Amino acid sequence: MLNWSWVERGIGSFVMVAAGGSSNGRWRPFVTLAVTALAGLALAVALVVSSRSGCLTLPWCREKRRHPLTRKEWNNFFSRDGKLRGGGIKFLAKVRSGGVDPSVRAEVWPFLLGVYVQITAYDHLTVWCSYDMNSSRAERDAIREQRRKAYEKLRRQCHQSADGDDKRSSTDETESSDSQSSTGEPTMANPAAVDLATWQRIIRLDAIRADAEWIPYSPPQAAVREAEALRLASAVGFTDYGDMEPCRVYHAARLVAVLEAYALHDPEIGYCQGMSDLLSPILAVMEEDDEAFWCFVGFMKRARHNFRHDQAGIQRQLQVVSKLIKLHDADLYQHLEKLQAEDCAFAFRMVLVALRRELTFGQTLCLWEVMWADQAAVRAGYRGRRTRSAPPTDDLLLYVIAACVLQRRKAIMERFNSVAEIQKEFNNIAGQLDIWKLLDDAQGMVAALHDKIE
Amino acid sequence: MASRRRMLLKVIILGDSGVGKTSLMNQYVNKKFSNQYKATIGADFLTKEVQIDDRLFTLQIWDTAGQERFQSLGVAFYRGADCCVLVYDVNVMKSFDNLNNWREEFLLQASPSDPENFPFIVLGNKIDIDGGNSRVVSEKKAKAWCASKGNIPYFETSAKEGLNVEAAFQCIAMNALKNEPEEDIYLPDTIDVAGGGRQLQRSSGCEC
Ligand SMILES: Nc1nc2c(ncn2[C@@H]2O[C@H](COP(=O)(O)OP(=O)(O)O)[C@@H](O)[C@H]2O)c(=O)[nH]1
Ligand SMILES: [Mg+2]
Repeated sequence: MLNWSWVERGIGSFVMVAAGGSSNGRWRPFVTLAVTALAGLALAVALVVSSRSGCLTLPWCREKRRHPLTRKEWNNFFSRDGKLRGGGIKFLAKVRSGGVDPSVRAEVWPFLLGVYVQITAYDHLTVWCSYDMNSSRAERDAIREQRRKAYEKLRRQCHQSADGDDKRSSTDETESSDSQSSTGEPTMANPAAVDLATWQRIIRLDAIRADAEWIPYSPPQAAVREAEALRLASAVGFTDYGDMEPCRVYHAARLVAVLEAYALHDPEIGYCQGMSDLLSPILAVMEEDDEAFWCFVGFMKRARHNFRHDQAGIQRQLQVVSKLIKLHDADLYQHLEKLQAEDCAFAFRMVLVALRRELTFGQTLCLWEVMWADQAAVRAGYRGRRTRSAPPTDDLLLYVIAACVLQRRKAIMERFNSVAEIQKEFNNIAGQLDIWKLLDDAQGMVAALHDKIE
Repeated sequence: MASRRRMLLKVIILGDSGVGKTSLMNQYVNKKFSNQYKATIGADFLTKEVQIDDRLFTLQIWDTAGQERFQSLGVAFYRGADCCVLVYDVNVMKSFDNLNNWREEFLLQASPSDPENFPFIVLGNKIDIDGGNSRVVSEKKAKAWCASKGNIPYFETSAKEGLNVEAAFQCIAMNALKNEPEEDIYLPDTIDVAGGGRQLQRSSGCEC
């Protein structure tokens, strides 16, 4: 797999040249005949380049890209009492390979994000869970109802805090932050002293600055009536919307509502910039605030470490990216060292907001659901059956990011002479990525390197 | 002369989230304001050619995320900085109170060779809001703080209206140049111009 992706890349660039060097990666569909030498053999290779994803399909060596999980398939995964058959293993495998059709996302995402994991008991060391993939419809309905109430309670607390009553508490019904220790920052104020008021101010600033890329993906919310948007905005105390369109006011107000609730739910993290980037796609898919909130909590369960005050989470992840590059491509790593870029700080944004800024909105949804399916598969104890396939990993994102850096290897090695140039390249990479190709490369790396990383 | 390599001046912009760092940088470099800039994540930079006296420089302006917990990331970006711009919002007291933290954090992480004399500039931004009626930090108070930290030059700006932005960055460029140690100035053909240029800029200075 790994080898093939490299060969593909070589052929890919060859075809690019043959096609007249389209630079932005949006290739028109065409069929071309390329001749390449491989292991001393001359091969005539017919390549079909699909315009949508810009990815190559090599008909003789790879499975055709599987299709996303459809409504019909999704319905068929359930038994009569609404349990996922076979503990959801097939369901997760399907999502891992092709993502989810937009029409079923709102139903599928809560499963991927562990919304139906019910904590049955916990102490300071262990958490005992039940349900999740094995839940019945009735059990899920009960959990949803319980969580809706918990969310509403959080929202009430937000209002109380806004009214001057600065009482803060975390909801005990769910797992709260796994570590209460806050390794303090040397010079800035103690995080515990940071006001909810500060978070509320930054949340509003970021809500105004949120992008509008979600609009085509959520027609009902795009068509929200102005009165409804303004009602919600005033209900959450969001007033600075100026002359924003109603649907954007609505989206911004939902960001405010859910992010504030999250800050109360997880006061160790509170609010940190970047979190609105992670929430916006979830809001676009999940139309109810409470459901969006619990999906977000599920997402944040891993992502929250990126936002810790001591930065331990993000540093560890950058180290993993660095190590993957080192293991996979020693020459590139050496070059990065020479430029003092081997810490991969240039990948900070990619890690922090899970490639949200680098991918289009649609690509983001796909990549995230594949990534969540991997994490759900880990949670479900699924280890992969076929010997040569990539086992699921909690760190798929990091492999994808390493693959993304490796895809830029030539430019980094030949053109860049400073960290700044590398940073610029990755800051301006938006719209140039092909997630399926990245995922192929990443999964190849998982198969080859996962035991050296974990 | 035409083949002479342009000297790079590295500037770091710091300050609380939302004070207008990204907007100021874009107003200066691209001459436009938009309230659609996304919140900065990590770091990004823009470059601009500037002329000081008769010499051209490349100003590399680094914009960073403003939330305090991102500071430990700084080291990589602060490395080799020639000037540090501290921004606050004249309408938000906390952003002013935090200037000291930003300054200390920068000195700690960048560890410049001569911290006492490292050039900082302070910008009080968003003076346009509400015609100045909502401001909570007075010019006097800001200037007093700047004076107490070794006479840091101070400007009041509006990234939105483009007020004072050009002047502020002019001063920033000059101070960055002042910080460049002589040996870093790389002029293959005309070494003497380097000394001359620096003298000129010292004597012309900026009003600050
Ligand atoms: N009225 C006004 N708004 C500004 C000004 N500068 C920035 N803003 C707004 O303040 C918010 C934060 O600006 P931004 O440049 O992203 O701040 P940063 O987080 O410090 O980079 C945005 O909504 C900007 O449109 C200014 O001079 N006047
Ligand atoms: Mg910014």
